Amino acid sequence: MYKSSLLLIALLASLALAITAGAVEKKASKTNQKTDLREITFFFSNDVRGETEPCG
Amino acid sequence: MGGLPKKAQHLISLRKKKNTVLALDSGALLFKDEKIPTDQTQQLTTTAQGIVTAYNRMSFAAVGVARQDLAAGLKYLLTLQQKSDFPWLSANLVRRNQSKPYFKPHTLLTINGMNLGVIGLTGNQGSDTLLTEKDNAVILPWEDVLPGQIDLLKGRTDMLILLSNLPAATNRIIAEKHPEIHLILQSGSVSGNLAPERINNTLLTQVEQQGKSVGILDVRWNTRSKQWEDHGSKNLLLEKKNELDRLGWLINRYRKQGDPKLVFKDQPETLTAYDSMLTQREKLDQEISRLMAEENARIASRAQLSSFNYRFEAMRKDLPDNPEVRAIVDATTNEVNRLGKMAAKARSAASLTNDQMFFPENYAGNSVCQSCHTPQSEKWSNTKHASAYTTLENKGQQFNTQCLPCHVTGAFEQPAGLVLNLAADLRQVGCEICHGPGKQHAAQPQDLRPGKPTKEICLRCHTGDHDDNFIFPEALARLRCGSL
Repeated sequence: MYKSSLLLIALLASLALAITAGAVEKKASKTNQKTDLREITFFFSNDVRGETEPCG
Repeated sequence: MGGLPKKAQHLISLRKKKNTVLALDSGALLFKDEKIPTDQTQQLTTTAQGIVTAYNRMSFAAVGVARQDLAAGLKYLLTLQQKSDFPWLSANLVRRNQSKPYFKPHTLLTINGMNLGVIGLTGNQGSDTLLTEKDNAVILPWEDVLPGQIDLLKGRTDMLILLSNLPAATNRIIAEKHPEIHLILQSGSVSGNLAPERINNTLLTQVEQQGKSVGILDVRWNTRSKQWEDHGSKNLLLEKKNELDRLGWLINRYRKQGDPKLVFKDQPETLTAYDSMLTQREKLDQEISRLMAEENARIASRAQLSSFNYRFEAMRKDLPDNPEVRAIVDATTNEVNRLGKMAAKARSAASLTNDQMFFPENYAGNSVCQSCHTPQSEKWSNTKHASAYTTLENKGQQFNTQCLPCHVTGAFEQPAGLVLNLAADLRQVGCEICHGPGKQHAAQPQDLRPGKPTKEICLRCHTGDHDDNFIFPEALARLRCGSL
């Protein structure tokens, strides 16, 4: 009886570990996919041509 | 419209919302033209220095060297570079015989874990007199330098950007030949903003001149594929679907009257047209199936591609100013005005006797016009033309030679130094700016009639740069003098 309980606990622990490992792996793969994408904003201008602001 | 204090506030507000904002300027920053009159050098270089100080405050990451930026001389820009917190970029402005660039050819930037390479190219079109013998410099064709820069940077960067002062047509050729460049920000005269256009794997864009707008490009960049998403097949698919709808509608119109083969059996031309529509529909069906397959494949691989959104924001008068850049601009314009005032004083003392003010040849002056044309003068006195010079005085800019020609009478084609000493009777935008010099008409009123205002005359000042709302017939109707 004692041996069976120990076996059951060991099985449950292995299962929990496997589930956790799977979730971590899945999360890691998602993060890898995300790391290829970068966000950046370009604020751009040209041809100011010496005008700090209109004359008047 | 325009103004660095508004631009600065906009940029700072954007940075408060996002921490991945990069400010770039593709050049033609400092001067309007490629050469500046020697008697305006002090005022114009003071303004240039002020602009650089403002750009330092705005933390611009790089500025391209355009031809206009060399207007005060290569030596001047090299000196100004020392005072710039950002790099000036030009890969093709080089020492003669050595091909060694005078400025940094490129800069490497890291933002949000992404490595960016920014290359600068100066336009090599136009006058040879831009650079002097003393400069020992030459602007090489882009083909001589760009491939080398790309080879140097493409393995080290996630994205390559070109700040180009070359003509738009040349930039398109670059985009076609070099898909390794992902973004071209160009400078050069354009009317209106140019929305980003995808050529091959390069986006090409530009904002309209004189700081009237700024461009904002939000990018989601895939550092692995380095490929822009293709909107082309999606647009084409929509186009073809619309064409098919219209064709279906036309075919149904024929069929409403019965079987077209029977109804139109005596009208061979109509039958031929009907058959051709059926063939066309079959072709369209096939094409749409192909485009849909492409679109589905595109959606499937979308995660691998890069996308963007853009907007151009006009620097409207009602936008807030950034106080620090406002202070920089105020200090600059005050100094420019002080220099003009000193020049005016010096000229007055040196070349004009008895404090006599400058009166351009053939001009009569407003008071002479008013002595005969009283009702017209009264109407004029209620227009903005009548207070054009006063506006400059109120802003402390009445000695700014860049502003003066459009705020006084008779200043065009005159040396800036003389305009500083213009007679009081020619201050404000008076009768003779529209009708031409009136001295001879004043002497012989019946025989020599003054000219009529033309659109060209108005456009010397009411250009798109300064007046977005100018419509000649409306302005003429509003300001018309009436019967003389």
